[in-house]
Amino acid sequence: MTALPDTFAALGDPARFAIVERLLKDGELPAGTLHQVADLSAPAMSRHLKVLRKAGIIRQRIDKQRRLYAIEPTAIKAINDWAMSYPQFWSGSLDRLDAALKKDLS
Amino acid sequence: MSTLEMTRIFAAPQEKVFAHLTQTDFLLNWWGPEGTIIADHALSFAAPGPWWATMVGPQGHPATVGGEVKQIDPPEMVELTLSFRMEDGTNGPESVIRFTLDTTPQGRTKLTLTQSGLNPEHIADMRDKGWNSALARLEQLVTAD
Repeated sequence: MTALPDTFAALGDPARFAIVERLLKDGELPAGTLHQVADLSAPAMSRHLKVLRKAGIIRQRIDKQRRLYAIEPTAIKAINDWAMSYPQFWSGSLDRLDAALKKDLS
Repeated sequence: MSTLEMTRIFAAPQEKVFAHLTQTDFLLNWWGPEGTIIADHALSFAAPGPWWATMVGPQGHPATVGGEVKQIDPPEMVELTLSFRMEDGTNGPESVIRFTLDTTPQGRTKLTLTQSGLNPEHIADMRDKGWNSALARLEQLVTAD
């Protein structure tokens, strides 16, 4: 699994973030469509896509002549788990504390 | 600086709740949401000093949190610091957690949890790294459905 700091580093670039945002919203897209997302040259775009792939954030699929890109769900999950808000953390923990206390008393 | 406050009422005596809040064997039963496994730890809030815990969530990604127990007043209050330990060896923003217990007139135990005092320096540091906004936006996106 890719380390989270690498994931964040890859997402730290506005163009790459825009690409990821678009793929999250629209699902799988061909490279051609992604060129419209950010005002980038073809070589710059392919460099960004490569960084995102290496960081495990997106995956590539080749369909005939087309390269299709999509979000790697496990990467997004990992970020989401890490970024889980404290209210969720505590409320989940306190549910378990309640259950543990009930067990301890019975 | 924002403070998070949560309260819960437990149908158990205050001494027992305090033990569950502070002692290792009890903490391991509840620290972290459902599906969390504590892979490795020095998890006790029974006395002042450092603590840490490496948690593995349902998706299998480990996260280490840690800090220091600052104050303890059994069976009423325990205060500790908490921050995420990043994989590059630095610490995330530090906050102060305080658990306070009261016995209700019905003989149940009320827990008040506050989390406050996020260190502005750490927040600025996170912002410089561009993590905060990226995370906030990403969190919005993945929870938008």
